[in-house]
Amino acid sequence: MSGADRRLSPEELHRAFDRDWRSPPGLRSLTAVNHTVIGKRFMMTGFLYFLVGGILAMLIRAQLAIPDSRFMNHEIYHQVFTMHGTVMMFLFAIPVIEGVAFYLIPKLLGARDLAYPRLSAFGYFCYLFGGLLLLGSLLVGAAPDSGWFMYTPLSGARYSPGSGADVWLLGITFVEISAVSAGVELTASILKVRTAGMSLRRMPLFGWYMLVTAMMIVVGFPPLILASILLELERAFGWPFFDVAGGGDPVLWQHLFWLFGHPEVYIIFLPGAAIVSTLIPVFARHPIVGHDWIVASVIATGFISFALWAHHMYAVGIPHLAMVFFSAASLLVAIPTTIQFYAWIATLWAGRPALRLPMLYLFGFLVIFVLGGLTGVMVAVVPFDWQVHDTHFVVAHLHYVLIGGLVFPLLAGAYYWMPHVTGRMPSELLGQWGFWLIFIGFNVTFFVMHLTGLLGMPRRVYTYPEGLGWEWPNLISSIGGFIMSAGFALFIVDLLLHGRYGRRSQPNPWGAGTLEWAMAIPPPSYNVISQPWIGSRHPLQDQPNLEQEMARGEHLLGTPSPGHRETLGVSAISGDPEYVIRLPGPSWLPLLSGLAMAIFFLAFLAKLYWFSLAGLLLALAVMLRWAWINGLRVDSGPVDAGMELHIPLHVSAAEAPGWWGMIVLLVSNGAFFASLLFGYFYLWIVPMRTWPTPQQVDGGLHWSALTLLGVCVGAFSLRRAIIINRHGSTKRAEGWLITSALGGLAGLVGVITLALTEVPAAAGNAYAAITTVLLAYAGFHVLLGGILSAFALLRCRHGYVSPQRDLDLRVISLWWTYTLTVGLLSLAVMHGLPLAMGAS
Amino acid sequence: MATIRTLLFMLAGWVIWSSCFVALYAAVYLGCKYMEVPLDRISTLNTVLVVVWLAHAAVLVWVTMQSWRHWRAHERNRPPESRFTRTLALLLNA
Repeated sequence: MSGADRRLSPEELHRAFDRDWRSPPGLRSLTAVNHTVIGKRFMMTGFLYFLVGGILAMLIRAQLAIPDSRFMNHEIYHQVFTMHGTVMMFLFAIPVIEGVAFYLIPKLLGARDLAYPRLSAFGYFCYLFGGLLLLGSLLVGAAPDSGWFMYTPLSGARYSPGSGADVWLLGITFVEISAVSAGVELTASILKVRTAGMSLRRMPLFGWYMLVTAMMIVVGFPPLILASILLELERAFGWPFFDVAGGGDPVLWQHLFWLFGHPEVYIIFLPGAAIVSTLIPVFARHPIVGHDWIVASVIATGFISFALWAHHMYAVGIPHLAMVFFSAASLLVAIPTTIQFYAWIATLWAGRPALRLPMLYLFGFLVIFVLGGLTGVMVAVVPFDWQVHDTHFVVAHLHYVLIGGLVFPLLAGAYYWMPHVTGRMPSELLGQWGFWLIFIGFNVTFFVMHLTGLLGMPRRVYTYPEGLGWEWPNLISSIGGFIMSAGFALFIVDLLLHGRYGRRSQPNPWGAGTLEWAMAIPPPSYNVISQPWIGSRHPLQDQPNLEQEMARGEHLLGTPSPGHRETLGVSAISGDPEYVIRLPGPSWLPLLSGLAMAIFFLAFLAKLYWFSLAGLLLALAVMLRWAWINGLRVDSGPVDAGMELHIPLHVSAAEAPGWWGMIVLLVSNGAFFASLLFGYFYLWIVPMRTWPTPQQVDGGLHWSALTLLGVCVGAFSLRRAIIINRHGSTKRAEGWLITSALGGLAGLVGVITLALTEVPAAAGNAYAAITTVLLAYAGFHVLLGGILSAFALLRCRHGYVSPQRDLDLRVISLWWTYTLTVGLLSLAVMHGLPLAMGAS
Repeated sequence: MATIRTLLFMLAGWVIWSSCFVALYAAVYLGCKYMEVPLDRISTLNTVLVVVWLAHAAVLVWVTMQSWRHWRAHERNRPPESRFTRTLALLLNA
C-alpha cells in the first residue's frame, strides 16, 4: 500500500469504495448484482413463498380436522397439497438456502462479492418468474394436482389432461435453472474467492457445508431437470418415455425423481447443520470439537445421500437384493450425521453455553431432528417401510426431518444474523414466545401424526369417514398446526418491529470469531475496505485490532481503484493470493436473460413451440452479449494488491473463476448426461417386453463418422489455437478457430442427418424417443461448440485475446473436450446397443 | 491442476465406494434379467457380485494405505494446510 493511500481516512475510503460498489436506486435497482442485495432478495422472496405454502398447509389441516369435511372438494384439495409440497420444497427451502449462502459466504470468507455476480442476479429472476408461474396457476384454478413428486402415469397426458402438470414441469425446470446457477456460483466462489490466508483448513465450517451442498445441487438437480424435460416431451409430443403402451416405464420417472429427491433432503439439511455448526461454538464459548471429523462427515453425507434414492421405492417392486443395498446405505448415512451430533454435544459439554435466543432454536433443532432421524432409521428398514408406506407416518417423519433440519436452524440463524442485516437487535421476549408456540405447535401437529399413520390413514386423501379412529389424532394435529402458525406470525411481527424499534446492535453482538462480523453493520456495499490476511479459523478472536486495520485499508486491496470492483482470487487449497478479480457492475442483462427464458417457458406452456424457440435464441443472444463485455482488450501487468503483493488480473491467470465455473458447469452437465444414459439403459433392461423394436438404428455409420470427425476437428483445432496463441501468434490462431467452427458445423450436419434419416419417429416407441433425445443432446453441444468457436474468433479480432489473455480459449476448449466425450459415448451406445442386443 | 489432484485424492475413497454401489446395482439388475438365479446354491450372479465387491474393496484398501503412508510421511515435515488435506484424505478414505 502506498503512502498516498494511507492518508485517506476510513470515511474517505468508505465513500470511494461505495461509489464503485453501491447498487443503483429506483427502477435501476433491477440491475443490481451485488451479493448482499441478491441474497436478501432470495431470502425475502423465499419467505413470501413460505407464507403461501403455510397458508396452503392451514387449508389442508382445516380440511382434515373433522371427518367427512366439505370445506374443500377433492379437486381443490389435490391442487392444494400438491402446491404445498411444491412451494415448500422448490420455492422456499432451496432458494432460501441459496439466499442465505449468497448473503453470507463472501462475508464469512472475507471477500467482497461472489465470483459471478450477474449469474446470481440471473438465477434470482429465473426463481422469481418460475415461482410466479407456479403460483399464478393456483390463482386461476389450474394448478398441478398430481402430488409434489408428479408420479407417472398419473401426471401423464391421459390422467392429467389439463395444463396443471405442464405448469409444474416447466415452472420447476425454470426454478431449477436458478438452483444450478447457484450451485455453480457457490462452488467456484468458495473454492476461489476467499481472503488471503484462508486455506481449506482455516475456512469456516459454514463454507465447507455450503461447498458440499453446492456440489450436491450441481450433481443432484440435473436428473429432475431431465425427467421434467422427458415428461413434458411425452405430454406435448407423445414421445413415450413413461407410457407402457409405447414401450416406456413409469418407474423410470420415480428413479429420476428420487435420484434428485433424496439428495435434496440433505441439500436442505446440510445448510441447516452449517448454521448449527457456526452458532454452537459461539454460544458454547468453545471452539468446535472434532473439526476435521465434521468436515469428513459432511463430505461423506454428500456421497452417501446419492445412494439412497430407491428407499422411497420399496413398495414399487424392485429386486430384493437391490433393496438391501439401499437399506444398508440408508442406515449408513446415520453415521456421519451422528458424528456431527456428537461433535455439537461435545462442544456444548466442553464450553459454557449461553442460553440466548438463537440457542433456544438450536435446542429445538437438536430435539426435533433426532426424532426425525430415528423415524428415518425406522423407514430405512424395508419391512417397516412396507407397513407405513404412503401413510401419515411418512408425512410426520418428513416434517420432523425438514422442519427440524432446516426451519429451526434457519430461525436460529435469522435471530443470530438479524443484527448483521439491519444493525438492530431482535426482541428476546417476542422471540421466546414465538419459539415455544412453534415448538409446541409443531410437536402437537406432527408427533400425533405418527399415530395417525400407524392407524392406517393414507396420505393425500381429501377426507375420511367416521369410525376409523382417525378423528382425534387429526383434530389434535389441526389444532397444533394453528398454534404453530401463531408462532410464525409472532416471528413476522418481531421481524417487522425490530427494524424500527429494536435497539442498536454492537458491532459483534455475540462475540463471534468469524469474518462477517469484521465489517460495519448493516454491511456496506463493498463488505470490507481491505481484505485481511488471516492466520487462524477465528481471526477476530486471534488477531487483535483486525477490524480497525481492515477499516483503515491496511490489508489487501485497501486502495480504491476507481471504476472497478475488485476482490482477491486465491489458491483453492492454501488460500495464497493468486490474482485480482475484476467483477462486473450493475447490468440489465440478467433481467433480460430471465425474461427471454420466461418467454421460452410461457410459449412452451401455451404450445407456441416456434415462439418458444425464439425465446431460447433471444436468451442465447443476450448471454453472448453478457460474455462479450467480459475481459480486457489490452494486456495488464501485475496489480499492486497492497502489503507489497503484486499479482496479475484474473484474465491472465491459469485457474481464473471462469475456468472453474466451466468445470463445475460441466460436472452438472455430466450428471445430466449420466442420467440420460441411465434412462436409456433402464428402458433397455427393465421393462418386461422386447426392446429395441425391429426399426432400431442399424445403419448410418457414415453420418456418425461425419459427426465424430466434425467434433474431433472442433476440439483439436481449438487446442491448436490455444498453443499457437501462446506462442505469440493470435492472428494464426484465428485460422484454427475458423477450422474449429467449421468442424462444429460438419458435426451438426452429421448428427441432424443421422437423427432424421436413421432413427425411427420418436413418437413411435420409447427406444426411438430416447435415442432422439440422446442425439439432440449431442447435437446441442456440437452446435454450441461451433457458436463458441466463432465467438472466440470475434473476440480475437476485437483484441480480447492475446498470448497473455487466453482465458476465453481455454474455457471454450473445456466445452469442446466435453462435447467430444459425450459425442463418442452417445454414438457408441447408439450403435453398440443393437449389436449387444443382437448378440444376447 | 495440482488443486484438482489434491481434491480428487481426498475424495478417492468415496468415488470408489460410489463406483462399487453403481456396479453392484447394475449387476443385480442385469443378473436378474439375463441369468438364472437358483435359490439352493451360490449362483453365478452372487459370484459376480462378490467379485465386484472384493475388487472395489481391494482398491479401497490400497487407497487407504496410500493415505496412511502420505499422512505418516508428511506429518511433521509439511505445512499445516498440507497436513489438513492429508488428514482429511485419510479420514474419508478409511
